[in-house]
Formats: sequence, structure tokens, C-alpha cells
Amino acid sequence: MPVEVLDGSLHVMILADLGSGALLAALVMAAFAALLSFWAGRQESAVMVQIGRRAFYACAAMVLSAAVVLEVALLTHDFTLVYVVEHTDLSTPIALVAAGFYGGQEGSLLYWTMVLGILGSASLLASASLGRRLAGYAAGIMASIVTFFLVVLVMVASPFDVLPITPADGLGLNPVLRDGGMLIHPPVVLAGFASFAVPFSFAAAALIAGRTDAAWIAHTRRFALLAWCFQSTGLVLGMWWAYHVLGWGGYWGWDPVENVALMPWLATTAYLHSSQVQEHRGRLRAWNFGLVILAFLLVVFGTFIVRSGVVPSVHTFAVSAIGPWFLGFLGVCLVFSTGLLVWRASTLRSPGEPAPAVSREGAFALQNLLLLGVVAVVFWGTVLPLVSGLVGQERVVDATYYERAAGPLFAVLLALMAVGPLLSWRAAGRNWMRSLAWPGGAAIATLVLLLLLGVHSLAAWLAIPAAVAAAATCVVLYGRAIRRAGARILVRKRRRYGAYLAHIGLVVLAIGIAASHFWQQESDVTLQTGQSATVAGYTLTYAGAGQRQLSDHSELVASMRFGDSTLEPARATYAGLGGQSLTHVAISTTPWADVYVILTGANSDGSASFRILINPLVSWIWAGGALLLLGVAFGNLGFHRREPVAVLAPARVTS
Amino acid sequence: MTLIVATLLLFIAGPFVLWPLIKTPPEQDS
Repeated sequence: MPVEVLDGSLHVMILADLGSGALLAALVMAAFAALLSFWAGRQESAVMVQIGRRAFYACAAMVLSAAVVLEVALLTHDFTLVYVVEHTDLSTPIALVAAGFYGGQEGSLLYWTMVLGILGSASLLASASLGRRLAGYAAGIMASIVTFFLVVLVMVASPFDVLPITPADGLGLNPVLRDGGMLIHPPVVLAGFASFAVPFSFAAAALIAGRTDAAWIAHTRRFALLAWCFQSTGLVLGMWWAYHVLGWGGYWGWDPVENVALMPWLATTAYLHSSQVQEHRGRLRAWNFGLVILAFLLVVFGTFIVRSGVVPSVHTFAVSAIGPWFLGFLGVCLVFSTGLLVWRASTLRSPGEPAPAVSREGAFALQNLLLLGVVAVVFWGTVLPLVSGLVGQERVVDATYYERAAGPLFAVLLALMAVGPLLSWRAAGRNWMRSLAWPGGAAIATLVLLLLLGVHSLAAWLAIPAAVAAAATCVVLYGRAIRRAGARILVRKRRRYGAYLAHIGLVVLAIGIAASHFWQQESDVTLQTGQSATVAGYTLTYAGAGQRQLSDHSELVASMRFGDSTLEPARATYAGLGGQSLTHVAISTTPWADVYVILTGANSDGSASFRILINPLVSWIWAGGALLLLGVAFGNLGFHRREPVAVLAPARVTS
Repeated sequence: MTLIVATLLLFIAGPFVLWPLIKTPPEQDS
């Protein structure tokens, strides 16, 4: 029930006006911050750069106020607001009502802007040390991005639009979103998208200011890492959600929305590695600028794909009319960034002789190429329906395309993870072949083991030994470091050893993906009460079905006895939402395999139909994801001495 | 009403945003 703080209509009027007023003021402030910061950067006026920065902070505070107003409107069930009606109802649990803030188009845009405001402000706080020009331009670019979002929020997709007649109840949240995952997955993914704007702004500002040294990289390193962590967490949580909630037996479907979240992650992964080369050796400057710009463009492209509905996707509930706005924004960003790179091309050349191919620099450059190769594969697979539709008959690709085209690239990347960390800067060193003995031996032993187990898949022969070799390399590096300097070295140089822990996490994740992909088994069965089915050695017995009534839906629940436990797959029906139904899968997890049961139907003769899947090592994916993040957190949390940064000559270029 | 709220917020934010100018006259900057 609405909280009667004030008279109903007055209450809503105040909330709607407060919200839209805050957004309008934020728009004015963002535009002011953008114009002033660019001008102040050009004039190198310290006072005006400060004012521009403060205007950005004020804008962020106004956006935050609008977000608080929207949250209050949701929690008090103000059904005169269109947004509240469309995304909540009285039966929705209160936590999901609160999550309605980012559950719809307008709210998620406001959330995007809010995250950019907060992280942008944090990144600008210490930016004065970068010099007036760079700091001014960075604030100007960030404020311009916020201005665009606020124009869309004020003019096209306002979350504070008011209905002429107040309904008694709302339409409610999409059943798929009525899950605990809704509280974590969307905000993390959106925060990941929004935070990419910070490194992009500083990279573009460095290009405008002609500062192609590594200062902008050092300043934004933690923001790039934060963006990458958000995206990694978002991807893994998305896989977890697809696996546990969508109930089709898998966790990754190469859906356009998954693809557009994966692509910026790949570009940022490349950047985080490549930026080390510039920090240590002053090289790969063009790569670093290019990768940060690409990551941001891919985020905008992804937002366009999700919001416009130009390609078919499972996320069609996010479609709206703001697609053309994002297409225009993408075009402007593309022209602006490409123009900057072309303009500053002469300053992006690395000084000195190029490093030999077999060196750490060479490994990072190859890694960049491989990751960009995967981005290209995923990009063309995603836009094929759009492009082919424009020139004739619409065509789509299925998972086989991605597996065949991107799979070998991923396998080579895993192999590179085994070799790259063993190489030295500048040159490989005399003993690099010898140091490959352990990872090479581990790979050969794994291959022999696979052959003995009767595995006849070329993809498995490549992927799994490469992953084991990558893990062996990390173990060798840990062992070598501890032998030479004791275990404390792992903490003292935690940036490096945290990264190797992240590598191990990625290997565990890759093994989980490979095993569940290569050795998944499934069976469709129809069972009478008391009958059993055996799949891949796992026996399940059907013990009957019954109806269960919950607050917002009813469920047909089947009981399956599995060893000492009982699995309860169900089909939920939401009467309040026009009888929409949803599958609730039942999963029994062990470290070696998941038993995954989907109730596909209940028949009139008392029997029930099930799809039973045995998914090997799926829990390794979640464990690997956690290890990956733990490694990054271990390597980057807390204070530690800044490693030497190759800030070469300031190389200021007059335009 | 929206315009009034927006104007009020901008008015409140003014001193915070312009503080460097209030504190330091512009000619001292150069």
C-alpha cells in the first residue's frame, strides 16, 4: 500500500517534479561543466578547470537526488508515475520493487548516469596532478557524455512521466526478473558499462592535450580495473542467472545481449595487459588509446543493440524508442575518437627499436591481436542479422559459428597464458625454452590422459591441455618466487602475483566451460510415479507432483528422488500477469557434475515429462570466476608502492 | 513546477560551483 506521507496527489506531484527538476538542473549543470571545462583546458586556467570540475560534482549530486526520488516513488508505490506502474505491483516483494529502479529502460539510464557521475567525480578528484589541459579536457569529455544521457532522460525517456489517471495497482515485474539475481546482475553489468567512460574520457583528453605518455594510464588504472571487475562479475552472474533461472540447461547462448557485454570485456582485458607495456617500456601507445576507445565504443554499441531491438534477443523487454539516439551518439563518438587518433597518429609511435617477437612485449601484442580477433568474430556474428537484413534476406548464425571461429582463438590465448608470463621484457632470455618444460610437460600429460580416457575431440585436445599448461606456468612462477625470496614476496609484489591468481581463476573457469561443453549429456524422459531414469550413471526416481500456492504465483512441483536428496523442478504460473509461465529448474551440484532437471510437462495419465542434463564441472565456472576476482582484488586493494612508470618526455604537442 | 525546482537547485549549487572564483579573483590565477 502507498505510504501516506502526504495527501496522495500532492505527494506524487512533489516527487515527479522533484525528480524531473533535478534531472533538468543536472542537464544544465552538465552542459555548463562540459563547455567550461573544454574552454578552461584550452586556456589552461586553473580556477576555471576547478569550477568545471565542481560543476560536474554538482551535476552528479543532482542525478543522485533524482535517483533517490525515483527509489522513494517505487518504494511508496506511487502509481501515478508511469515508470512505477510499468515495473512494479503491490504483490512484488519489496527488494524487487527497489530493484525496479534499474529494471526498466528509463530507470536503467538514470542508474547508468548516476554511476558515471559518482565514478567520474572520483576520477576527477585527483586529476589536477595531470596538468590543467588534460584535467580540463577529461572533465569536459565526461560531462559531455553525462549531458547526452541527461538529454535522453529529460527529453525522450523520463522516469518521472505522470499518468493522467492513477491505477489501483501496477503491471508488475517481468517473471524472469523476479529472482534474487535481479538484485545483483543488472546493476553490476550497468555499472561496468558506465565505468568504461572514465578511462575513455582521460584517453581522449590525453590525445587532445597531446599527452601521449603513460600518465593517463596510471591515473585511470584502478577505474579500468574496476570497470573490468564489474564486467567480469556481470558476465559470470549473467551466466549463473541463465543457468539457474532461464532453465534451458546452459549458461551462455551467444545471445546478442551476452555478446555485447562480452566484447567490451575482451577489449578491456587486452587494454589492462597492453597498458603494462606502456607503463614499463613506453611502447604500444597506439594500442592502448585504441583499445580504451574501442571498449567505450563497444559499450555504446551494446547499449544501442539492447535498447533498439534491431537484432532479435532474449532481452527484448528492454526495447524502446531511444535506439536512434544511441545510434547518433555512437556515430559522434566514432567520428570524434577516430579523428583524434588520426590527428595524433604521429605522436603515438613508440620510441626506439621495436622489441623482438619472442619477448613479453611481443606476447602482449599477440594477445591484443587474438582478443581483437575474438571481438571481430563476435561483432560480425551479432550484427549479421542487421547487415544481411539491409542487403536482402536476414540471416542469423548459431552457436556453432562462434565455437568454430572464436574457439581456436581462445585455445591459442590459453596457450599464450602459459608462455607469456615466462618471457622477459625486451628479449626472451636464453633460458626461456627451458622454463617451458613444466607447462609443456603438464600439457602433454593432460593430452595423454585425455586419450587414455577415450576423448576424441580435437577441440578438447587443444583447449584442456592449453588450460592446464597455463595453470602450470602460474604454479611455476609462484614456486620460483617463493624459493628465491620467501612467501612474503607474494604480498610485496601482489600486483603481479594477484594477476597470476586471476590467471588460475580464468583457467579453472575455462576448464569448467570446456568440460560442460564437451561432455554434457541429456535425456528426455516421461515417468510414472515410482519409475526411475538413469543418465550418465545418475539415477533419479519420480515421486509424484503437487500444486503449491505462493504470494504472486502458483507452482506445479514435481518430486524427484536423487540419492538421499529430493529435487523439485517446477512450472510457475503468474495469474496476475496474464497466465505467464516460467520453468523453475532443480539442480544438484557436486564439484564434478551438476544434475539438472527441467519439468517439461505433466500429463493427464499422471505421468510427468522431464529433461535431465548432466553438466560436468559447471561449478568450476563459478569457482573460477570468484578466483579471478579474488586475484584482481588481492593484487590491487590497499596501499602499495607505485611501480616505476615510463612517463617519457611530456611530449606536449601544440595544435 | 519542474522549472522552479530546477532553478532552485541551480541556485543552491551556485556558491559551491563558483567557490574557486569567489575565493581567488581570476586575475591572480594567471
